[in-house]
Amino acid sequence: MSFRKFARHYGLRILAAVLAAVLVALAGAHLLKGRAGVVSNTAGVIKAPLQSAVSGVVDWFESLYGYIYEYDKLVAENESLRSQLAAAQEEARLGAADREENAHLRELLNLREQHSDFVFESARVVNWNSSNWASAFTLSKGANADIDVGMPVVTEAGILVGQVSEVGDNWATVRTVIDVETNVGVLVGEAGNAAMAVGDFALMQTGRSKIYHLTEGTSLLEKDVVLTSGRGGAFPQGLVVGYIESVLTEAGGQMPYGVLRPAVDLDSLSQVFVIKEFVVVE
Amino acid sequence: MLLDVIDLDKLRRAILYLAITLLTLLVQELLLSRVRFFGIRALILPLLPVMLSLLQGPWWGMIFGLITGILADATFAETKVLFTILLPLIGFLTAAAERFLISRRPVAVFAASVAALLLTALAQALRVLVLFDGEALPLLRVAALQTLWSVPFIFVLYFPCKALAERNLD
Repeated sequence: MSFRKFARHYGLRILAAVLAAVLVALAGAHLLKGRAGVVSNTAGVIKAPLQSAVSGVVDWFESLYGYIYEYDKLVAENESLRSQLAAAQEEARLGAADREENAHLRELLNLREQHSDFVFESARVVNWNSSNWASAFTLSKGANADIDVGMPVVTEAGILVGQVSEVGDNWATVRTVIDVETNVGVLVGEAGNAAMAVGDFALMQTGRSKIYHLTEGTSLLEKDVVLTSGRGGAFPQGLVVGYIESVLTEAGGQMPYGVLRPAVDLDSLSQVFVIKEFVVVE
Repeated sequence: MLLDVIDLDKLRRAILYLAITLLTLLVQELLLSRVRFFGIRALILPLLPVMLSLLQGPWWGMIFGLITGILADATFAETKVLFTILLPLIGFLTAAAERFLISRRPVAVFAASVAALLLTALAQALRVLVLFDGEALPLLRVAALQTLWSVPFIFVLYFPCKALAERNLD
């Protein structure tokens, strides 16, 4: 059958069917008020999970992008806040260090007024000796600052800490007043009785040393203040060493001795002053 | 020509052991000086000559004992020659013990290390006893605690020294 014969035979019927379908579709759309038809609905049922999956992936990428974008913003903000905090902390730290140094220097000024003959060199305590058999620490200055062996070392309040025992170009070792090798001539109590402060290994472990009384007919009392005597010229006269914590007797003997507690907590030292020059009192 | 004379393996080994020695000294000086156990600090330097004697060879222990001893005496405030004499001696004694008495097994290294730590602590105590008339009991207490506190560091030093001794550096 040719196309002309087919069109002639079925043409009008096909046209009528199409028009009818259009009319039914228009009428159905009007009646369903926007709801999809069967075909659209079926197609939609099949596409929906795929769309959902694709949408999910896209959403994930979008959220990831958003997260990255937000994260970068948060990181930048965090860094900014951190730098502000660090600056504030640094400012506070410098303020605290300045205040501490000012306090040290004010104390030192009083000490200078009391001892105009003293020539000081300030130095930081940079390290403690790592041995259990000595009490010593290292200073941040040495021969380059004219520090020499034997020079006394004090706090800003004039409390004796120890004596320089070794010197390098830019460092010095200080033996403290409780070291086993320490021997300091002292005056004890208000009467100023002459005695010797001597390092003792057992007491060194507890941060203390011994006082042997040298003057006959006098006695040691608890809480007596111990000052340097200045005899021998190794130390200036009148530096505070500590006080008598207790009075004991040597085992197996009658000889009393005092337990000397330093007037400063040696473990907490951070800045000290080396007395480079002083007038020797004989 | 020069390369035929120099044993690069030994040279590299020596440089690495020197680095370990310096690191140990730094740890001793900067770290262990601040850490106390019942008021006592650990002393890890005597471990080096023991490790090197047993793991690398007797000469290594003695030579590096001497190097460590010289540096230790330069570091510690109270000693001038004690470690310079003692640490090479520990290297020698360890080598002699390994030759005639002990094996190179980990337990032998541990025992020799404890003995070296104790010997060093007793030598330090003897110095105070003789020179400063210290009482024996407090000295022994500090010597014992120092040895005890130093024991954990045997394990810290053993493994890097063993790894280096067994490694071919050619």
